Amino acid sequence: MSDGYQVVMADLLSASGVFADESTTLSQAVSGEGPSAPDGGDAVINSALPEALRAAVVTTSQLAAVIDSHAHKLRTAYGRYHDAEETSAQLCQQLTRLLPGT
Amino acid sequence: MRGLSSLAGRCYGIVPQITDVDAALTRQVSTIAHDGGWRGAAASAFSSAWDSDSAAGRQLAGAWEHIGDLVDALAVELAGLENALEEAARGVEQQGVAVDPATGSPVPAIAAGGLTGPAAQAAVTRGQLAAEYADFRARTRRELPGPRPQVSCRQWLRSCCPLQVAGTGGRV
Repeated sequence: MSDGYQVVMADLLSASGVFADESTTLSQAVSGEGPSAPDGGDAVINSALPEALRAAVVTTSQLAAVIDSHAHKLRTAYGRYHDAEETSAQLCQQLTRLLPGT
Repeated sequence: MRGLSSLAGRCYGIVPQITDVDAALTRQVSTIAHDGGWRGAAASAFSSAWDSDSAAGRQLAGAWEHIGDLVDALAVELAGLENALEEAARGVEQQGVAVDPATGSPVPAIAAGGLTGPAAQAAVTRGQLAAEYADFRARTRRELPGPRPQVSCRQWLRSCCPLQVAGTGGRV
């Protein structure tokens, strides 16, 4: 395979690792149940604030999960390119053997 | 009040964590899809999915900042109202009206019945001051921030967070 193809594969694997790491970082930013709401001085606020915080925490956790799923996709892409490379190499070898004089 | 300020600080603290993650991953995608030469349908799908998730991430960071702003404003507003109440309570106490420190309410005034002369006048004055303070206290409580966070935070989060864990593209 060409050098360029190798660079793409290495980049995919590296990017997969970065996505996985950043997913963990984001999960830890809102670990547990996230920030808790103190007394807001009013019943309406005391009911709304935890709800808003919970929604923001859930959405942040969802973003972390999406980023992790991107890491898996990049890893899968790397795996498929790797398999394709091996298959191509085997095909080349078989074709070469068929050539007269080899 | 200290709890609200601290919560605002925590919300503000989450903002750069999200934007840093977004910046790092956008750089990665640029490296593999633009500089690195990853081309084709899978690369386009992945790049496009990340663009959309990155935009959602930036909006989410904005939502955390918005919640921080609201909580911070609430803390400032409550602190101002509390100061005003304390000053008013101090003022009426100096005039002889007793204020219950546990509830902040004026202790029921001694009626002027049976008293005569300056004692009766003082009792009446204390009664009027107590009523004025009670009225001020009731108005202050009515001025407490209303349902703004409930409405704006919910709407903001609903409008800016379209993420779905399994729903994004990025097919490989």
